[in-house]
Amino acid sequence: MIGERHILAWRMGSVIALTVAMAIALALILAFLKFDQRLLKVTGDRLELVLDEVDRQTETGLALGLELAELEGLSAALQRAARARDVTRIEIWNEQGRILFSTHPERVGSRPEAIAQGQEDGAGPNRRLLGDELLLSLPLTNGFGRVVGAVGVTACLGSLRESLSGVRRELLAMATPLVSLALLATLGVVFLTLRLSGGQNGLAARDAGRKTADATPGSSPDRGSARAAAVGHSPRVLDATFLHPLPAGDPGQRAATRHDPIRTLVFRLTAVTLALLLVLSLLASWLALHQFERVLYPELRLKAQGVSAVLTRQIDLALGYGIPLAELPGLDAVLAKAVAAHPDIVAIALETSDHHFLAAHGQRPAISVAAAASGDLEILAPLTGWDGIEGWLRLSLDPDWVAKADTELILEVASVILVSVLVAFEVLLLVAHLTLGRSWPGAMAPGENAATGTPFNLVFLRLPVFLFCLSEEVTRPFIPTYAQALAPTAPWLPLDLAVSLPISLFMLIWALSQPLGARFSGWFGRRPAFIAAALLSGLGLILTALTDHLLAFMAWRCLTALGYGLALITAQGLVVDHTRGHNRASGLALFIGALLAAGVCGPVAGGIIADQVGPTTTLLVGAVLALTAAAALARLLPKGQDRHAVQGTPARTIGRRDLSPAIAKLVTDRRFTALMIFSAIPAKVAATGVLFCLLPLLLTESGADKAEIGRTQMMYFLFFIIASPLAANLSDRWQIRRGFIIAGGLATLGALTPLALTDQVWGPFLAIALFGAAQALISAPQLSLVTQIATQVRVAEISAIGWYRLLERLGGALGPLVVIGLAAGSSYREAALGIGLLCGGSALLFWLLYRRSDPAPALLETPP
Amino acid sequence: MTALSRRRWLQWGAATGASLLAGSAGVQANPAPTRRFRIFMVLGRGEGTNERGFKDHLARHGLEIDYIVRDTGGDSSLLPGIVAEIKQLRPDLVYTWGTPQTRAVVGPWDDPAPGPYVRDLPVLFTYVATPRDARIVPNLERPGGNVTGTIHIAPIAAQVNTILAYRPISRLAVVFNPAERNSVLAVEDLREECTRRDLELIEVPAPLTDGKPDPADIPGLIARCRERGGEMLYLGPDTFITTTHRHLVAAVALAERLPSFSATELIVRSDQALFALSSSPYGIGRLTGEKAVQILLQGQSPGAIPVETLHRFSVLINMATAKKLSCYPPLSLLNFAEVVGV
Repeated sequence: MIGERHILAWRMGSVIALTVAMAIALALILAFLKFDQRLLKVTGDRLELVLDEVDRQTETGLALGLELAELEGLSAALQRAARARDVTRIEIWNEQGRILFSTHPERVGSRPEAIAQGQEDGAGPNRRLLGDELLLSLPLTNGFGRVVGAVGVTACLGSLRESLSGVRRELLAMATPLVSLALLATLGVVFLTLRLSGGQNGLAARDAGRKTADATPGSSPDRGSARAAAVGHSPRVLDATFLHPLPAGDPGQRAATRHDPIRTLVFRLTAVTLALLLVLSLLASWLALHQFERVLYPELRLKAQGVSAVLTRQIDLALGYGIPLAELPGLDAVLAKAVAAHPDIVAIALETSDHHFLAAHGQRPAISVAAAASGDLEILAPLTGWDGIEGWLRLSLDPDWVAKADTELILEVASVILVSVLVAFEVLLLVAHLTLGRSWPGAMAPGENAATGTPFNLVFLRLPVFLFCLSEEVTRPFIPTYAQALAPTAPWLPLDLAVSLPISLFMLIWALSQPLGARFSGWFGRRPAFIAAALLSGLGLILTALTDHLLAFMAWRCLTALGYGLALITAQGLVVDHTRGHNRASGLALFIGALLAAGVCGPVAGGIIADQVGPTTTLLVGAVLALTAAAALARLLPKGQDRHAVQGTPARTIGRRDLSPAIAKLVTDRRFTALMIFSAIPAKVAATGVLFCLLPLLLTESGADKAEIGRTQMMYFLFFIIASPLAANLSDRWQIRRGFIIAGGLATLGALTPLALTDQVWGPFLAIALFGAAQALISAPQLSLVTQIATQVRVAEISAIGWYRLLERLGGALGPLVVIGLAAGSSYREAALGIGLLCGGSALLFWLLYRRSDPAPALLETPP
Repeated sequence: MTALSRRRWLQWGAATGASLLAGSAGVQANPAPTRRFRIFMVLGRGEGTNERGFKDHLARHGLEIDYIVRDTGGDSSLLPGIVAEIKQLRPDLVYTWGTPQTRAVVGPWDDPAPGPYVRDLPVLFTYVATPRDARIVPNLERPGGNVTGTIHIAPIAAQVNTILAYRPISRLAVVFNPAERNSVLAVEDLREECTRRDLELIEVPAPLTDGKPDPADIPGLIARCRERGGEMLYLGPDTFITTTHRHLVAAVALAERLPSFSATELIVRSDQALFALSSSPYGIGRLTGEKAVQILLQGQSPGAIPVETLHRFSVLINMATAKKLSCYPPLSLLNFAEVVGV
């Protein structure tokens, strides 16, 4: 026993320590990459000042009607501007890409290497990084509004790279003891936690109590079966209907679920992981920050000197015309604009020659005497007129700029922590069950063993399902923009369709694969079916990554969808095979928990990965995850064990013969039709249309990176998980189904409104969180109504639910098309509002129609 | 990159092949001219920078031109004779400067009697402030017929922006000659723009005797602007005020300590008006030349070439006047302005 406890402690400790160490390393890498980007941006901004100055001089000449080649005075201006630090050359080339003026005269007449492809007509400067060289270019427009060439500044980033590698070395030196500390601390805490939990002895003791509870079958197996069937045919992450506690009639089962000691231990250890991660990542960030400041401030100072030079030149010009400094109008506006354009400059002030303030913008920070004396945080430049120095310009750098909440980095590190904790939970659960060799509670009633062999522990299914879902979820933040980028390869297809069709086809294939897939896996065997489907999906992702044509992209997305649909329905088949009425719901909850965990982790992780290594590689990462899921299942579910279904299983998979006769009865029932048309379908149109299609496009348009898109998508799942059990519980307790559905529809309208009304950063975040909660309101009550209607019109519940899932998923397939159709005539924001109105309006119609066709709603809402 | 700009790149690419060196930069690939062209110029105040820009542009495109120049010197009675001469000589292109000259040559576009006008030769106008209101063309995007041209005045919204950027005011005064159709139309536009921005416009038209204004009234008119609370004097494209009597107008405005803005640059450059937002005359000449190239070399129909103005205007500031008025330009304007009278 003691030995086993140690093994458990070591294994669990290793998992957590590895997770913590990886998360800390990842957080440090992310912080470094962010810092790298930031440093490059500061340098780019500084060089842009040089570019702007040359551009201003050139365009002044062009505005007079002269042609580019006639601006003879430019050569001298370029030489002057090229004195700025790191600038290696400045060139002006014409519309044919031939250099007209250069700081290196021998290059005149040749073509600059970096613009061989032609310059862009964009408004802002174009930045391009080629090895150690940064090229900034800006198109030049003549007085007729025609682009006649471009000006380019090339800078060598050699010295910058050197300081960066210095920071990297020091970070590495710092990370080693930190990670070692993390490993040791983790192991210690894990041993302690296990000791306090009573170790294996404690687990065994509680286990005995739980098994007694298992032996008492649920008092209403039929209902359990209906619910199980419902989930059994709802592999959708959005269908977390069954996370809510089971009905009061299943005390034994509730006890089993609530007091599973392994689960309690895993929860405790996950909390330990979270605490360790928070403390250590704070420490790591604090240490990293100090390294960054040392390199960043000199660069910020250089940039501020550039800003100061531009302002000084302008003011000196005015003084040169004889305008007295004190009477110079518009100073405030110019200073305010400079402060606004450079967030690291906190204040700019104009002083007379004897240092009296004339004008100022921003609050000069209180800095230490030492810092003020060193002049590191302030730049003082003289303003010169005819009579010598007439005043001073004082720029103050923000001493806390680097430390000030870098919101994006904080959010990214928080995302890493969240993903790590969820992954750790999944792995810990598996490790605990593997170490203790336990089977799923109540999978078999006593006495069944002899006939069926060793039962399959459904916890072993969770990790493969989690990994498999992750393979698709990581692609969520970028699929629409990926399709958008491929759109030129099929120019005959309207852009709107090119963006929405791949997602719609994916949803369609997935919806259609469900009824067929259930039969396929039943006939083929669950294990080989899951492995084959996961391999198919992985292959689809690989092919998607390799293609550069839109049509092939769509074809491979369909292949992936087929694999995705088949694998998930097969996994559900496994749950149904290995559970019985009284424990089926908790078995399915286990399964759906994995789906939701993947829903939370996938987009966030995918976004961060895609930002760092690109969407193509992220697709390949997805493929690796799918293949790993196949391998994990092959390893965890021994051959032949999938056939050991629980005897007397009432559930079966749904097939055509279940579906065909039922629909005739269902469509003639107005309540069913109203429920489908005005609630189920609009809800799924909104879910897939907004979450998977509109949101990535809208956020990309407003300049968000993929990590931000992933984070926003995560909010949906997070709030769905939080609101879903609550909504299901309340709707059960109050016996209100219709009210929840109407409230959910109206709440969707309310949720999507911030998306349309504000362009603030928090708008989409809030909207998607509320949207997740609104959808959670609808999900469980919809299903309850379907089962009630089925009983009343004498259709098998399983068939009614099958149709319900199929129809709503077809709505899901329609979603991207509807959203993009709406956006084509307006904007993404207005389309979001349009979808909100669709859901809100449908909810009202549903309320009207359902009431009219249902004279005794109270009766209907009583469970049969 | 759009298909169009790709095509342009290809054209440029072809042009670079043989002759391209720095000197021929910016020249679009056009078919080489095979003959000399004749251009008939109808001017109103002699040849200026504008015409120099026009001729330079054609020369840079390798066109060999014989120019036939007729100048009315402001005497519109000469115009019927000039039109008759055009009909007789049948040049390849007619160039007209100013609204009266252009109207005399092409007539109102909806006049059904083509007799007295040139309707079968390409006509290219310039220095027409409001060609649509003057009924020279029905539409700026697609002028139709045998006419196209260039506008030298910045859009009224840009002018008001510049005025407000120089000094935030609430009352703008305008003195104008109600006998000049051009000027009346400009004031109408200005009125509309001021209403939109909640800016009060004080309109002071010059009284007419026998349909003509009297220069002697000018000091009284400007004084009235001041009395009625005008904070800035607007000088539009009005020949009587801004061209013929500009010296007097500018001097009186300065004496009244009323800052003055002009839509054309002459009164700022050669007199004492405070500032102007105007097109560079040389640039306008080049833009007009570009349209001549499209007609002569590329064989485009004038009616299909849009009537345009420059995309960029220059702010011209007379610093001597600014100092006398103690009304200095703000830094943001000074940064890209041309300064005279230092």
